[in-house]
Amino acid sequence: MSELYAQMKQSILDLDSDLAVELAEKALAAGIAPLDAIEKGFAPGMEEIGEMFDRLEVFLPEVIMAADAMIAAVERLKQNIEFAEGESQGRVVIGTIKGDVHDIGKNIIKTMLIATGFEVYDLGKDVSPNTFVERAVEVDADIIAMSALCTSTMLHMPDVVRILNEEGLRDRFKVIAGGAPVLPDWTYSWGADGYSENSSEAIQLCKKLTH
Amino acid sequence: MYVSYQEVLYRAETGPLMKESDFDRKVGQVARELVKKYDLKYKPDVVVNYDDDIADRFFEAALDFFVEVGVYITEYQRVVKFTREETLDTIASVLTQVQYGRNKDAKHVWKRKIEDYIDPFIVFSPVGNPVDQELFQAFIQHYAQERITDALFSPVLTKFNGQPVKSDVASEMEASIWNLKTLREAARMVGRPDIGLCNWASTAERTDVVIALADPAFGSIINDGVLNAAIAEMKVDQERLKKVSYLRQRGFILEGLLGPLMGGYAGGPAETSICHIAHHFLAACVYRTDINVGFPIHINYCCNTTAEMLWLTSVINQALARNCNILKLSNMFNHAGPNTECCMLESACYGLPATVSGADALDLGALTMNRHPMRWAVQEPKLAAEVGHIAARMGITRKQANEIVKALLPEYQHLLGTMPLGSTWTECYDTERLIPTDDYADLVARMHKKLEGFGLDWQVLRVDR
Repeated sequence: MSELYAQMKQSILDLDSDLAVELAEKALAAGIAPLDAIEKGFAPGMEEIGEMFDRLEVFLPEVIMAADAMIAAVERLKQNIEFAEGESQGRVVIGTIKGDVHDIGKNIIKTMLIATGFEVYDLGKDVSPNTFVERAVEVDADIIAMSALCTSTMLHMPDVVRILNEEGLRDRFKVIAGGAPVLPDWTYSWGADGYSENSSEAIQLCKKLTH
Repeated sequence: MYVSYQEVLYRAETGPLMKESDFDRKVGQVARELVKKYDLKYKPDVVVNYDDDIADRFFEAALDFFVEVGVYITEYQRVVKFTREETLDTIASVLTQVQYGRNKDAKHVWKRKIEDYIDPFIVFSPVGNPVDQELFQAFIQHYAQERITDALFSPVLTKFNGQPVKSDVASEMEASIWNLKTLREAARMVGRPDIGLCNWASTAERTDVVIALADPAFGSIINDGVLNAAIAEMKVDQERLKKVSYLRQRGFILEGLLGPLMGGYAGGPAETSICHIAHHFLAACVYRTDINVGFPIHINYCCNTTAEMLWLTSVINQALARNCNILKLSNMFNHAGPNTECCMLESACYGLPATVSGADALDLGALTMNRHPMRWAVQEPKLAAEVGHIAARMGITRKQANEIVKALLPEYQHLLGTMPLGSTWTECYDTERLIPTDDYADLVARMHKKLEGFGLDWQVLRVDR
């Protein structure tokens, strides 16, 4: 069994989607529970890729390919079992804040979140504070995640918390922020629940906030 | 065959459709293949490249990349493509010199060669470090008064009359107009009323605000520049194209703002170098720029003073300097903050390779990763500027620069990620007399002495050529 888990992890590290799917099928045939295959096999590979990315031993194209492999394997495993709601890590509504069209950071976090088992609703770029709130309510999100590259766009972020407060919704969602000009002290000053400096921290933060 | 701007707009409407996520993947995939094809892998033993053949191979690889990948128009999800001949002919049409400012404040950016004796054009640019409104004018004066700067960028204002300055709302317009008026007034106060401005307000993001600021009533002159950014690796949008449509008919200096992330969609140092050179083609062909600000940065450290980023800076500038006339402003991004030895060393290590590699101008530059409020002061950028002028005037070679930078890098590189934020401007400057505090001035003197030990001679700065 542990040999198969090791192969699953390696398929992610090798960025090999075909092999990952093949191993997912092998796991199902061997009677391994899909969640075990994910948590003990594929997820550790994705975690290692994330750590390698933090050290820049791999770059974003490799992270995307590893996530593709991870997602392909998970999709295959999902075909054989109905995932209960509790088996998702949580729901995240994500986007770049109003006025900001720079989405590389947001896309990295999105990719890593999906690969880690979160349900992600990507609102895209230049998203108004009201849209963040409306969509979070609509999909019953756990987390609202915002990013910005420009100082003048970043300053729209506090409006999300302000709207949540005014609408009496603040307790329903955790609000997190990040991006090049965003500083942790500033983020907490307007009432965000979390800040992260990079993708690994963001994943850990989302896990912490949803468990 | 030269491609006109009208033709670019036509292709933006009719080019091949592609999903944005597929385009992002293609950037990395093509860059990776070209690194292999042209044998361009980054080797850490060299920081400042001194191999002309490598520089030329990078240029060829970037041309292949540009032709293969094209430019993505985000709203239409279409790709604008250029052939190799179209690219070469269009980039051949760019200016080989640009004049910032007018009258006695006129200064020229000249096309420089590798190891050129011509001084690089200098611009001081605290564009990302927020500055308080009440200190704004004095802050600008403290760097505008430095005679070594040939033009100015504006600092960023995050609060105006007690309100946050947010993009795409009225406060952006209000603050930006005040910002430009204050910038020009600061220039007058230091006796440089007609100095060229490289941006009018760091908050002016939207096209309507740029058009408002172009009104000379607020202090703009025709020899000012306006930045237009590529929004991500090889991508543009209609908001930026609207700026081009307006600015190219007014006569202002069009500046590309190009900042690929090393570690991002393109990949590692060599792949990002290819993508960044191609960004210059994008700027010339699509944005019709007269000069480009290049600020490739490290995805984790948000700076470009690491060994691999300095190598990347050297190969990009050399590839462009040897093979085309595109003018380039090489933009320093430091990790540490003012009044620290780290930040001084980063500045020296940036100014040297950029200058000897043929950068036409030095954009100096972001401190504390361009983000911490009030943590910008001019002495570190000034050191980079002086090192640039000294390198040019002394005829320092790339090989010599490589040895100097390799000797200095170990003094700060191990601190990346934990570098000191240093002092705020009010801590390291007398904000009324606009002079550095004694400890800051001492640090500058110590750094001069240290660098003189590597053969850099400050005396050559006393004679302008």
